[in-house]
Amino acid sequence: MSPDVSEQNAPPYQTLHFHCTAEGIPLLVLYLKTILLSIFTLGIYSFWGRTEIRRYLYNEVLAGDDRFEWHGTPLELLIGWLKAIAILIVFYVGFFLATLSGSEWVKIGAVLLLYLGIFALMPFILVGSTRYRLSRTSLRGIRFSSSARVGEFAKLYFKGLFFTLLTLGFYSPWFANNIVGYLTKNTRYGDQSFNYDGEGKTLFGPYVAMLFLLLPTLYLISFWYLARQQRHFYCHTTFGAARFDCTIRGRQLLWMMFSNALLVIFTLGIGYPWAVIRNLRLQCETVRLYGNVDLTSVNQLLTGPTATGEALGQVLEVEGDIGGAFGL
Amino acid sequence: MTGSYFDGRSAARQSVELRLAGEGVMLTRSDGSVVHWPFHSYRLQRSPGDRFLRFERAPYRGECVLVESPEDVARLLRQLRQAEPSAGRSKRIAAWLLLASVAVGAALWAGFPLLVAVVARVAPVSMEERLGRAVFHSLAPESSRVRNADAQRAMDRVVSRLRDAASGPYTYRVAITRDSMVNAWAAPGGYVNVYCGLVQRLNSGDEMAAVLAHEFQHVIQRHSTRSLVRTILIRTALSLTGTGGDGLFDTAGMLGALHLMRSDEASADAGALMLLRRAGLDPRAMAEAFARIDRESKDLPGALEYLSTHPSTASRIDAAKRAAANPATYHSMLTPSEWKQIQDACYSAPPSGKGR
Repeated sequence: MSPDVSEQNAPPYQTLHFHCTAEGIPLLVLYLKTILLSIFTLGIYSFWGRTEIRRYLYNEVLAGDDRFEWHGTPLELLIGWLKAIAILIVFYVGFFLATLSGSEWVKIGAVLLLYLGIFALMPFILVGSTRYRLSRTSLRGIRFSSSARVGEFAKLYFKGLFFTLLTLGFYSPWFANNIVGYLTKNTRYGDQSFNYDGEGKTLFGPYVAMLFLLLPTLYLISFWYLARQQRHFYCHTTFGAARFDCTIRGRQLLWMMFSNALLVIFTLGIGYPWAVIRNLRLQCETVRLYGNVDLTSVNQLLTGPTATGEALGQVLEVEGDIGGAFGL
Repeated sequence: MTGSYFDGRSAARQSVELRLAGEGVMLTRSDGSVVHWPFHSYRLQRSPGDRFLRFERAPYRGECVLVESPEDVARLLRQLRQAEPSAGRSKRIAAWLLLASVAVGAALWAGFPLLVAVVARVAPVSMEERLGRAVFHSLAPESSRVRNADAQRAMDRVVSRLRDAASGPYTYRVAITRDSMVNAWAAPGGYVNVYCGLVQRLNSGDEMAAVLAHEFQHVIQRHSTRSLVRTILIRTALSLTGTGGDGLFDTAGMLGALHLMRSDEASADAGALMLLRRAGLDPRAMAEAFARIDRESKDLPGALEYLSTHPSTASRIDAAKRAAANPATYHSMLTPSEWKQIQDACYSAPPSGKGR
């Protein structure tokens, strides 16, 4: 893996492939260790275990010859969890007090308020988790980061939500495109930014086709649309002079979901680590970065993201989400 | 041994030679420059199965050396084990984790009952009433209650006499519900429910008064409030940690939450005997009532369940006899015909027999 000579003046990649070298047995051992020690330590070890699992999965994903690195710490997860619990307790207590009230209107109001509260927190959670995840990911010692702002994102998010509801869902291709576009444009690897040039209208035709075919295909067409959407997001993402490419197909996603479900069910859960790895492997194998990929010109960005807003996102972060490492 | 060096400033990769020397790792870069990282100046990250090693310069800002050749990894680890002073970092973490677990366990064991007691103690009566009302309407809905004006009047007399003797901030609402269960329960804030199954096994208004006095004591001593608070806190914690906790607001969940401990029952018994005496009622009625239920209802699982957490019948009779200092001063609560009206109201109502 390691080159024998310095890469200071090595030619840039023409195509950067991603691959996953994780193996089931080590991941299973990590999961079992996490579960057993979490029981023994009344759940405290789970933060250490989750960090170890995440570090393993990140280290086993390679861009070219380089391993991704995960730098998040268990204490960050623990503190984030405590903060999230504190907020959830406030929601819970308010909701509980409202349910004690005899008035049905107060109960309905409480349910509405609960959902509104969750909706209001969504931009905060999405931006927070993206910023946290990226700021703890590195490649070749250079950190990823996000300059996304909660205020800007909230405007985009609520506007998109409003139009999606107003158009009975027909605006959702633009909504998803704008959300991904904003987060991608604000993603950086070191001092270099990612860019995004996708447009929602490209997804509108496939989206309408999916809606028409949902019932006749017993919803299986949604896998085709998910793959189409994923290809759209990746193919419109650039990094410097290089562009991402994604070849994932709906049938691959469908088979992955179906076979993973069988794998987990028939092994009584033991097969879960293999399901995670298979999924990660599919994501890696169907994505590449082509063009002039000159990583040697990337420098460390000295200003990091602030910690504010990251805490809630921490508890909602998805393990092994390699799309996050690409800013997608 | 060779590795890849990243300086943490740019993503450029440099090849380095590694060797252990002078209480640290000596790095010779491709440009010929040599740097020395003492053991304490880096953190060693090992992958599962030791497929690679990463030396991260502390504080870590991206400067690191990655060794991926299996032979070099094995050789380096061997040398490090011999040369590096045992940092014992993982042992320290394990010790801290163990300590934290013991602390959390101890805090839960000792602190949780205290928290429950404090919350139940400081909860205002209005809050208890709201909580009790929610439970009462759920477990004893209007449609299941016995509706008979004569029986209601008789019950009101019993409740009124006990309430006057008890004083305190609570307004008591007592319902009789159509169910064959031999049971009664008290919800916070003064809401009490007696099932027809129990009414049919009592012999007099005094025995009914004894049962109510016992339930009122659960309200006065906030046993029901404490039990509900305990259940709510546990279920909320389980729900927040994603390990369960659903079902608090269903019937089974609420009935479970009203299940009291033996110490609460003993304390309610003691308070009930005093309350009966203050109300001018014979405390022995309580022991007689429970003795009859115990004797006649051995084949009823519901009845045994009701008695299971109560003090033994023998000790109750002893306590009641001790409490009944001067039996001559006690006056019966209801006439036999008034008591019959209550029982008849129950007999005429079709029992639902849904059980707990």
